[in-house]
Amino acid sequence: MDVTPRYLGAGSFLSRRDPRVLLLVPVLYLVAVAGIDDLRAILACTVAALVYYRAAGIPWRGVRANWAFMLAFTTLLVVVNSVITSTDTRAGGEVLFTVPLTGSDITWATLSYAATVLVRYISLAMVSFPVAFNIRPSDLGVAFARLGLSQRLAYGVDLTFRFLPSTWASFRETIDAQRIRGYEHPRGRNPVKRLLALKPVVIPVTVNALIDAEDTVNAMDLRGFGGRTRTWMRELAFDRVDYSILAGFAAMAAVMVAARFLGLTESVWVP
Amino acid sequence: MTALIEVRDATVRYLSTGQTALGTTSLTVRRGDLTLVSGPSGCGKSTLLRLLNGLIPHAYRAQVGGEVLIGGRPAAGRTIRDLSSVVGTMLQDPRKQVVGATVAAELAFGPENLGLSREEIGRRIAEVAARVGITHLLERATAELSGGELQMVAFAGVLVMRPSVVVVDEPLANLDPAASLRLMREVRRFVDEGGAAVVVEHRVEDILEFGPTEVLYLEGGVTGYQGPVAEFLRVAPVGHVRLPFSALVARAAELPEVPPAPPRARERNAAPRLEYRGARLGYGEHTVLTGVDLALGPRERVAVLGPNGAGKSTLLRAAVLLVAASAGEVLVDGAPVAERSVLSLATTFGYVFQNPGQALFSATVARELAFGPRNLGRSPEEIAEESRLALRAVLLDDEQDVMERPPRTLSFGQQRRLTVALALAMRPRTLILDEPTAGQDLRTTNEFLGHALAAPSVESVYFITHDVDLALTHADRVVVVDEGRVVADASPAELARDRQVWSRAGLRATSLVAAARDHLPDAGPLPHPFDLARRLSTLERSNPSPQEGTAP
Amino acid sequence: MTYEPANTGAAAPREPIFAISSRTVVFGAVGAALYAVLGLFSFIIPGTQSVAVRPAFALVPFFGKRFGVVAGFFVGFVGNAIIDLISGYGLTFWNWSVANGLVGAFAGLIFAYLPPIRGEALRLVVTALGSLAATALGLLFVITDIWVQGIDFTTFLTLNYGPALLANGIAVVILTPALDAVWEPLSKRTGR
Repeated sequence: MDVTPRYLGAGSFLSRRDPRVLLLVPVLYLVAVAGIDDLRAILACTVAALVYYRAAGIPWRGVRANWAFMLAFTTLLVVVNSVITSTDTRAGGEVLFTVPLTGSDITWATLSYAATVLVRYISLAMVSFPVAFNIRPSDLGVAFARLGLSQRLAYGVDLTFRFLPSTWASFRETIDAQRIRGYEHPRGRNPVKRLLALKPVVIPVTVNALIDAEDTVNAMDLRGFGGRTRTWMRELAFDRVDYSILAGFAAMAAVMVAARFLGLTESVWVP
Repeated sequence: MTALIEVRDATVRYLSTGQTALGTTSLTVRRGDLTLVSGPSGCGKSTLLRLLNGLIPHAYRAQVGGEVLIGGRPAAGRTIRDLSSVVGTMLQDPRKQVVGATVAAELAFGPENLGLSREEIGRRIAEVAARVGITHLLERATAELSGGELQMVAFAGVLVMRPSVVVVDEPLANLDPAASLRLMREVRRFVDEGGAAVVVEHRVEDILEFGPTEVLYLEGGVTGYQGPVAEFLRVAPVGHVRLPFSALVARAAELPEVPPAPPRARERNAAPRLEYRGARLGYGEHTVLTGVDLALGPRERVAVLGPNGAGKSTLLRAAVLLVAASAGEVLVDGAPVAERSVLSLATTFGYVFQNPGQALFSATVARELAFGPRNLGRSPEEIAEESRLALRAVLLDDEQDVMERPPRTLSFGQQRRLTVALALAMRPRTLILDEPTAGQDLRTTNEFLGHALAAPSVESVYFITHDVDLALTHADRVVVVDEGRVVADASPAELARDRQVWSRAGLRATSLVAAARDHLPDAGPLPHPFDLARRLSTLERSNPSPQEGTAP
Repeated sequence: MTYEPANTGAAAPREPIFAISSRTVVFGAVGAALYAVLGLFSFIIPGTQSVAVRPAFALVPFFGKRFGVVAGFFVGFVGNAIIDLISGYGLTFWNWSVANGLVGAFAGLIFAYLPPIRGEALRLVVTALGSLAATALGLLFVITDIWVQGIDFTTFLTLNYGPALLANGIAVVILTPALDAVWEPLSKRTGR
């Protein structure tokens, strides 16, 4: 099993961008679409999200499973939220049918709102998948540092990625060490018992990592970690394309926020 | 010329425990010095190192007496960061030292912290990488490196800080001789080019060829010897540090009597306990060993010897089904191992992992010991009895209230013995020890292996090691694994004569090998090195011509 | 000369709760890596559709308790974000990462103000309850789903907060005290 994030979008347009762009765009996009109830407005934003996602060059084969999970989960959420426990704020209009059991009335407005939530969610996923697949893990620390996070914490992000493979190896080794003492992967229905049965694995892996960490703290102190100024070898600089992308999404966010304040997008659109 | 390091009558007492870890100690290190610090576990070596690099008193709360001058100025009142550009530190285990995800990131780490310019950092990385020969590794992930490569990368990460003196903690502890000697050659070069080094190591023999200028021997925090190397070889405690064999011969008269080795019952025609027939072993797609044909007897002491990463653990893990054969087969007591369960194999093989902490999870030693036997379905009475016997077999039973102690509060050596007891409590017939000596001093190592080999309930012991002397001394058969194959399978005396084996990259003929080659019959087990030394010393007196192989 | 360190910096037994020393960074990173690796495993409570217990969640309040507010937040936030990165969801569930981080931070705060407890049984109970409280408080942040996802309060309670609290609460109550009990005798042995 691979415990490092997959870098699928290598060489694509978005992979060539400053990693800070990829971190900021989802934030701007979220500002743009939050609180919009009008399906047409969401669809307009989704066009931008789709173009952005296409520029990431993420091969479909690699993320099929992720999208399937995402869609299943979101659909369940939307169905439960908008259809079954349909809220009264959007009531009114012609009742198309009534859900058995719960007795909620389904109108065009209910369906339109459900579609809005679903599309908003999918488009959010589109702009945030590139964070997972188009940023080299080694660029994350410096990106956060340059976004204003504490230098030390930003290095902590790098360090976490450094620890991932060794933690995984230690986890495998502990499972082997316990298997020959008769440890078996917990089965059965009782969640409490299953959790208790994990102690022989979770405890040694954690305690070992903590004991080793003492030496790592020393090693870092001994190489001057924690000073006020720190150079990052990876040089990040926004180029003109980066600025235009950020400006584009910022403009979209500004327009959508303005529209929301003007009350243009707060009502559910019924065709 | 100002000394780089000047320690005058320093003492250290840890505030957390109130214990004095270092008695009055003095040490001067000048440019061109390579100082060897030696001594058994707990002798105060680590405390001395921490004093030199500033961790004491900056990171550890300790009361420091005397004076420590680094680069001519008092260490007290300076930051670790400031000291780090004078004293560079190599920790014992490079896996804990390396913080970069790639080699280039690791080398950049220190200079980045110093806030140097990118151009300067780039220049330094290129220079140091070329110097220690790791330029081809720069873009590699540190997680994929071999132990030897990683150690060299860690050293490069120290050198880019441009220290005047490097302190190196047990460079030989974790690695096979070939890899760690490459590191020592770099350390020597660093000294020759105007630096200085302090090397902590109890394998004195291996350090001698790098020409240490002075030896500081510590025992229980007290200076036991300080002075030139030649004199040290005459007075060093023979059971605590590994000396060259010639030194043992020279001091044959004062070597302690060794108890006779436990009887080696061998059944010539017994069915093998563990047999490999044309086996190919590995993890998933990744093949580690191929073409293994080997049969290990039910009453043998077998050492599996080879460099790091050669596949020694893979070979023996196949016995307990942690590794499966992708071709050929592995048989246990004549039946294919694939038909057995991992649990049922626990009563045949007690496999002891290298890192004792890997398995310890219980609140008390008693509960830890009960885990395995309980999984086998044994009754509480049986478990109590087996736990008691297992603890006695590893001599942990006279430790105060040991059954109620949290396992991880035992000392490292005790934790190691406890893990053997955990295996013994399941009543295995064969014990398998993976690198039983890693991280231990000579005396503890010999004691530990002594206990394991003499455990009354165990018929045979197979152990994995990269330590040549350990394999030759404690086994009656040595299987050498290198580059994915079994390359030799012989008695220690035969192996000593096999020049082809010693010419391989990962192995080195020690002075003990040379002595055995030149003076012993060509088959059978080796006597204890002390006995061999006594024998040779009598020989030498009757025949005073210089003996090949006894020179350091 | 006898030298008593006046300023031991990172090594002082009680550092300010929001200080970021190399210890904070390393233990935070170690914890986040542990959470990310062990957190890839979860199981569904039988009889429910979607209540997935992630046993490794117990690490979050543990790190908060033992290594402070900042390390606790880091473990929860970065650990959860990496699980999402490895699984491939990017920042879609960013508010859940914040919630995870807050659990660690609240655990750090709660235990910073509790006096050390000598009795082992009582300490186990207090650790379990404190961690559960931190979990309940921290996870409240997923109320932001109401704006992010556009769900209503009932859905938030029944589909997001409730199941998450149930699943993570079980893991925390069982595993956090167990971890803490094993670490207790070791925590003082480092000489720092």
